Amino acid sequence: MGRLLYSRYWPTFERVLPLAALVVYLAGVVITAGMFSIDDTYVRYALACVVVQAVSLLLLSAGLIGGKRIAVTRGERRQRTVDRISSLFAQFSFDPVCRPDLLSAAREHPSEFLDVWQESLSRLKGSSRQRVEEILIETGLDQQTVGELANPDPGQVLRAIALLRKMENPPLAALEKALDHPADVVRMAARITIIARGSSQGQERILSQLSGLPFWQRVVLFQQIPADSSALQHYLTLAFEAGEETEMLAALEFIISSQRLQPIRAVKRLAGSSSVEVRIKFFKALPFLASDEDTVPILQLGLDDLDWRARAMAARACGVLRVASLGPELLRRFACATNPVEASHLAGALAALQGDAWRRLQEFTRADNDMTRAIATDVIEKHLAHHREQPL
Amino acid sequence: MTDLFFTFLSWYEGWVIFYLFAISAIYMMLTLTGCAFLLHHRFFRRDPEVSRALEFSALMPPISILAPAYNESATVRESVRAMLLLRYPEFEVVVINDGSKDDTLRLLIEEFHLYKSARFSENRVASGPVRAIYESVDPIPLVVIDKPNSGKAASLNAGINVARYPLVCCVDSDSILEEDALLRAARPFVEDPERVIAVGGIIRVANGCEITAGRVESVDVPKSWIARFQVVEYLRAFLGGRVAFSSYNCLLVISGAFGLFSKAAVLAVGGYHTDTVGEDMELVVRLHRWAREQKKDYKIVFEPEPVCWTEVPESLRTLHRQRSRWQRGTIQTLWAHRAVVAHPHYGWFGMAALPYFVLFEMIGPLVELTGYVVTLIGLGLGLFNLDTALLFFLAAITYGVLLSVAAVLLEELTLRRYPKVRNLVLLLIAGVLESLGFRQLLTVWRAQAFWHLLKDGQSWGAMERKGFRSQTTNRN
Repeated sequence: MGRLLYSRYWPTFERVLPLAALVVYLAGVVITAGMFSIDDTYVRYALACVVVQAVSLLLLSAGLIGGKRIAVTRGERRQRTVDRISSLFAQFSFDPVCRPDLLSAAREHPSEFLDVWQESLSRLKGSSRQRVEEILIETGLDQQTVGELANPDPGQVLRAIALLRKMENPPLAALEKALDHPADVVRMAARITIIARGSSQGQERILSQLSGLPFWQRVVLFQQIPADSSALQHYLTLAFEAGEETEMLAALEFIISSQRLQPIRAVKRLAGSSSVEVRIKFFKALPFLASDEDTVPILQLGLDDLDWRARAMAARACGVLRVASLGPELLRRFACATNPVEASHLAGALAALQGDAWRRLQEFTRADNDMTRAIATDVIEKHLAHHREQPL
Repeated sequence: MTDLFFTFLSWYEGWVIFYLFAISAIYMMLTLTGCAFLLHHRFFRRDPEVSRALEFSALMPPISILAPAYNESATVRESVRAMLLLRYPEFEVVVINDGSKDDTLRLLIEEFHLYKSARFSENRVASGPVRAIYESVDPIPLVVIDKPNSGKAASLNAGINVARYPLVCCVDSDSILEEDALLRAARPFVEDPERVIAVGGIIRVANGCEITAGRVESVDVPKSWIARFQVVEYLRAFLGGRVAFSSYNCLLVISGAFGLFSKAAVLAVGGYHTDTVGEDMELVVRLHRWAREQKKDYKIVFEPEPVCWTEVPESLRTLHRQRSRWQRGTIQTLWAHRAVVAHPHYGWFGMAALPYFVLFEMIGPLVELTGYVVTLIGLGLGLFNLDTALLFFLAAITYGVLLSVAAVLLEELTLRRYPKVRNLVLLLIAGVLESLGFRQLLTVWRAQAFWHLLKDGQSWGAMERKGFRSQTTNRN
């Protein structure tokens, strides 16, 4: 079933299934009707419908209740085993005396053992964790799990990857092979593991494909990659130097996602990018770009942008970076802003700049323009109440 | 003349029988389509690392949760607290007090330390006057809008005007969202940010569940049979119908109790219409229409995993009012958008989903009811044979029961929220009993809705809430 679910034939199967079921049902009715010797055709078919439906109903109900009973019984038995193995693991994490019991449990109940092992690694640290990790090697289940990576059923491969990614030193060569698996879910699981725990080469391979991946996969991978990865630095440098729009967008998304300072050179040209998406994301990411360039002319470019979203992000960056020299410019723009989002960011930046900008912002609470007055009041109130930035 | 009348009765009866079997066949197809989709969906969303990563990503689109509240003093504090504890990177909760006559607002002010705020809002969609906006002095993302009573649609519009974030999640303030409901509901927006404009989650029946501090601790089947019938109904509607419609991108209903929308899309269509009692369906139909007229490549999606728990009526009186309102909403929406029905320009939406709703959801109750009446007349006049009539009735009933059992099976194959064998047995029994009286009662009420619509178009009717806290104490 798992293989069918992940195969390229599934969408066709999905479309055909309802029609096939209807055909089976109608065939059942026709065959059953043929068994009755009633002259009235309508009555014969109605009776056949009742019989087919009643039989289907009984079979479904029996299957449902029987299946549930088996599942509940199995689940309870499995839970008891899991509880027993869990307590053995708990003992073993601080005292290896119960090693033989654990090894025997692994032989008798490998699936439950692996579940508890996986769970234990999420909770333990230091020598206890190391001891728990080593016991898997002793049981030989690690090799069995690595072997599962070649299983044609994607469900089994996913389970194997989920287990192996918990190890301190996962078998990277085997995991990297999963990057070429035909099922996308498996490739994604392998990417997650390699980007988080893999070799530099493995990480570089995934990062080089990053811009071609769907947005959600990039979002997930950004959360996994270690901040000190050399592959990451190499990727960011290349992405900004290459000037390829999709590469730059992905790199900027990463910087926004990581919310950490990144040493990037020559960022000014991004402010003048022909892509509005790049410009918006660039100004959003600007507070996290540790560049040696002067930010004032860059921000000035942003404030002059033709797209209000880029202008709003540039205004926000002025506040976060506390660029006091742009205070008068922000005030001038706030006074004549027509877009409320842009105006809110301008006011937020003025509040963040403090000093003269803050004092001048307060004057806007008496402005003639309703929107300007309301936004100024709102921002000042929030600033006084919470001393925090406006939502991005 | 008599012959003509008899011929008409026979013809009509035959037509009704065909109609009932056609509708059952369509329901079965929808259920099977739903089954295939759910199995696939379950397997593709199984990596917990993905959910964990999304939960902490700054790239997830922020969400404004809009919760209109009218006389909700029994549940409002607990519901809001539960909303504030949802797992999502960035969100705000906007409660709209729709002129409650009880102390809903006072309770909120005291519980969450609210002050009258100068929060800026734009009047971009029609919402009527707003008395005041409150925010908390504590660092919690809560906004309360106080406004005179003007209905749910106007309240949601007021919330949209105040919302700061690009996604708006419309919920009932008396419902309970599961901790990860936002995360799961927002996932289609991240997976396909260019196309997805709305996502609906599943509504489950909270009656009978153990609820502590706004969280569903354990799931059980309700004690009342009326509520049990509704559990089966909800499973059939959500796991069968909505999943199937969603897979063809022609989902027409996103429940008002839990729906996530792109604010830009909602603003583009002018927000909720205040002149209908079925504002949730009307908005979704309008979004489809707008997107197709704009030739946008778009998606309106049903997600089976984000769960919203809601209390369903346990008294026939309240249920009657609710169902009448739903049916009136359906009729109003379909009437308002009649120009689009069977219009080839609107693709599956215009050619399949809307005609289905008109033929089976809107006039279905009338056809079924007149079918019963015609049968009784035919039997009285000796035109029909009692045995034959009973046989056809039995065939229709077993088909209905089969669908209910299929829905329970679907739940068990995919989402498995009911943990005990006893739960399934009770649901199966409810599935059988539901077809022997309850469903016919609903048919009568839904047919009556046509009359009520003509009489007093937009009355909502009140919901008698027990409050979730009392449910927990009742159990013990």
